[in-house]
Amino acid sequence: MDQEHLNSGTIDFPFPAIIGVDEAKRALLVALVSDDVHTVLIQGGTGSAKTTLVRSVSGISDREVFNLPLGTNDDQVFGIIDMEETLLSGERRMMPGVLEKSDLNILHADDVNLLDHSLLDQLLESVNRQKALVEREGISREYPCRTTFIGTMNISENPMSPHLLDRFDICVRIPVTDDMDVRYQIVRRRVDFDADPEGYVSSFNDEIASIRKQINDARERMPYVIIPDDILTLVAELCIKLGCEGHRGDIAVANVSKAIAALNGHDIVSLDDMKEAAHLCLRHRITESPENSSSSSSRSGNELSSSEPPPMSSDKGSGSRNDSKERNEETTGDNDVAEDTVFAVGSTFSVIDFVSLKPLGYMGSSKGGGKHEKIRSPDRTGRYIRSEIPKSEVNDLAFDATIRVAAPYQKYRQRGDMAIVLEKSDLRQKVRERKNGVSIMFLVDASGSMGARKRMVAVKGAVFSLLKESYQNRDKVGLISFRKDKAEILLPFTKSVDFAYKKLKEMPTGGTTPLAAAILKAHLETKKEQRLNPGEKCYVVLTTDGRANSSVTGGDALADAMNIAATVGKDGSAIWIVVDTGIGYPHLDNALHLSERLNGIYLRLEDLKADNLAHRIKSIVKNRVIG
Amino acid sequence: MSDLIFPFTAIVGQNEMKNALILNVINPSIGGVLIRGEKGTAKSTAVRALADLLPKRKASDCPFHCDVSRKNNVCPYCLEKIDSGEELELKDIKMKVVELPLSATEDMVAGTLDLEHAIKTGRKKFEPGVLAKANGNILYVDEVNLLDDHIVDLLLDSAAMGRNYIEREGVSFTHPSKFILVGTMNPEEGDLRPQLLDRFGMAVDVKSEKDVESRMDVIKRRLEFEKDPESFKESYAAQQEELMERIIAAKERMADIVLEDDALKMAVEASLYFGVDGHRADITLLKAASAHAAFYGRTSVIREDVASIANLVLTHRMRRNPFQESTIDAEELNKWIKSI
Repeated sequence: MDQEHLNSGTIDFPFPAIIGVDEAKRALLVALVSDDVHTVLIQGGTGSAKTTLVRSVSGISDREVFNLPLGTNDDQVFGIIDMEETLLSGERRMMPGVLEKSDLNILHADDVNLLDHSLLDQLLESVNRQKALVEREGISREYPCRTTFIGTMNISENPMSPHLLDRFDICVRIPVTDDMDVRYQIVRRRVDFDADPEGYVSSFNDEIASIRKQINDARERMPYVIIPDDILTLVAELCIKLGCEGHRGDIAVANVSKAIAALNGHDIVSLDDMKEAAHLCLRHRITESPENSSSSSSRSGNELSSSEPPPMSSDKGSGSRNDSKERNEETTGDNDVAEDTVFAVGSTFSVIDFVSLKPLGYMGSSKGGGKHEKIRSPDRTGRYIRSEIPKSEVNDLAFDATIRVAAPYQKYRQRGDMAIVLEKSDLRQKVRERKNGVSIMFLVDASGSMGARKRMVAVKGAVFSLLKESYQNRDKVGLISFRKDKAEILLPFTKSVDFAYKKLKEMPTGGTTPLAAAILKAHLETKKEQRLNPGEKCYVVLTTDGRANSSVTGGDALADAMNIAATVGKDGSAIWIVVDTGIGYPHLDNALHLSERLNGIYLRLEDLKADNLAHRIKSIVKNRVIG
Repeated sequence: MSDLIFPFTAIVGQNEMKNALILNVINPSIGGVLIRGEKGTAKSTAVRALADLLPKRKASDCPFHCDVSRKNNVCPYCLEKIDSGEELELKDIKMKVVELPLSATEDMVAGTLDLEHAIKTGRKKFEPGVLAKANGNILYVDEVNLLDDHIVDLLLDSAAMGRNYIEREGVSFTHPSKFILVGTMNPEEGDLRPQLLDRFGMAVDVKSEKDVESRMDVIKRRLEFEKDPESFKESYAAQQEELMERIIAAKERMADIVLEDDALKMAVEASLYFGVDGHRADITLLKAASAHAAFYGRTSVIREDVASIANLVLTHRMRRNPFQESTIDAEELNKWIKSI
């Protein structure tokens, strides 16, 4: 258990020596000053000193930093019955979890976004309430947890749901620095530290002492800090204008601005104190759908007169480029586009629940129907939900249940030196459960023919609508486009729908149609995904007009595609949804035939819209007649 | 400080939610309430705050605090005493808000074998779980939509029968488990299982305050509370007392409630008009309307009572197009309510 205690044995890099992370430092100081700020999230790229920074906090305060390892389960967090002690003493003894151990101290979770969703949810709830409630495996108790919880995460992977984000009082981003001098300084300091850690730390003694004093002075001032009504009015207005849901943001800004005032030596919260607090507390609360991420982040920047670094790519620029391309494209009219063109994303709509549609003749598991059902975990991962009499060999012993079964007989068994005697019939197996994931691969025809009459605009709109749906369901999504002789994975399976949207937006159109290669590629990707995550349901949404003119074998491109489709369809590991984007006259039935061979579901592009239910029914019926 | 509860009467706005909670306390047979809404809208705060307003009830001194006026639903210990003609000791027991945390394991919810007792004595004894604690109380599940299915099943069984049956680890036991089920959820996080949704007598949708004034009040009161919870509570003591007395009076009045034909017809009319399945809606409408009348100091239920609570009872029961949001129906409901 020593491992969860970060300070033991090692010397931490000193807090004042860390540079380029001013906002994050400020956030930590605020958390140390205010007893009403319980949770801080620090986002940053790899190697941005997130963890170093959190560890260094023990140097500037009397609080210890406890670590929450990534593979943590409920027992380790909330506590568990101490079987050894309980059996030896005959009385129930507890083994406290890290939440209880870190009471009045700091609990740090690195890669906090990778923690189990419901575990993190409850952890945050407990910390914010300063009280934990446990009803697990023989324990029923309540205990205080006045812990400051600091989560760090890598910004580029697995974004957290807005629901979880909202539970963090403060969220800061560590900017990427490309300032030569700053970079030099960072490396210089690290090298010096590694050469002589103790000597290096002691060279910062004065600075550390002054930070400690600043914190202590601020803590003493805290009870007397007043927040004027006109500032509070501004806080409320700001939160309304920025579209923050709920009141946690407002309250956080108020609390944090008091701490900032105290740190600045003010007795009355000033406008600047409040502004700084708003930066710390509201960035993660601004309602940001992937759709308008660029506009709302620039909006937040304006509202807060932001000093944050410029966004990665200038979205405005690419937007206007799209516009001009679109205009060009309008003049091209019905013709296919030969050159690469980036089409805008068309209008979005609410989509039908396409995943609950079952293809004709689909023989896979249809239990539950809902796509997000939980499944019994075949291995030892997942949450322990209950115990059962083992059906075969015991490989995951349910200790608590086993002991309970054996307990009444202990008086009558020959125990010798042992505290407890178990017989084979006492053994109980753990039943674990984990969430059944859903992965959706979007396989988008981006060949020249899709450029005709702006079909690509509509297709992008449709795919984006589907992405939005996936965002709400926390599905994994991926994106493959096919054009110019090859299918290209623009985005492997990820939970970042945001990222998928960006890729989709930038996806160019133009060139030939390698349909067969595309089907094969998507098939291989989903197979790979299922190997990595057994039990996961995979969907492939193929948008195509049913035309193919680039073959794998060198023969007829369409026949080629049909053959591969038939093979993939027989395999049946993924569910295929073929969205026919073909319009106009004469309408080709290729896409329909393709869906039959894939053993999939056939929909017209317009059928995807939730209000076009009638169309959808018609198309399914049609499918049945022909099939 | 962590044990101090924010005063119910200090919660800004959210009147529908507050009413729904109060009406359930007045008449527990309404069947609980589901509170849906965006994050950070005082949902949990309100439910936990309710604890301070709960009345006392007469119950046996057994681990389950049986309501001995219902002889067919008591625990085996009380039943034994009743059968042997022994006098049952009754106590005034304050109703509580019992929380069911999401991480709860099945054995702790249903109850299980008392390990300590078993090792020491070699005898099997039942150790009560959350469902036992919940008997006669409010059972609160935060983020109820994220509750594991096997726990939901346990809840559904008890909610349907008012009794918990345990067969596990060699223990066979049964005890009363009648509770007011209160759930809160953020719909963004996922849907609720339809069977569980059906169990809730009422549902409320909450939103954050949108005007600056009330939003400011929310912040101000929270800050005051955090700064000095005791004196903040003190400043609301009179209001709390008044509301609590009103609830107790209404609870007593429930016994004298008369359902006018007029109100009865209106409830049926409402269910029919909105195409709500089954009679559970009609009955719940009347139960809720009765509680509403009692809360407003009347013993006869009038049309206005039905109209005031129709929204709470009907919104989550309306049959709707699976691909449609329920907002249109809600508008229709409001129109209908205004038309009377």
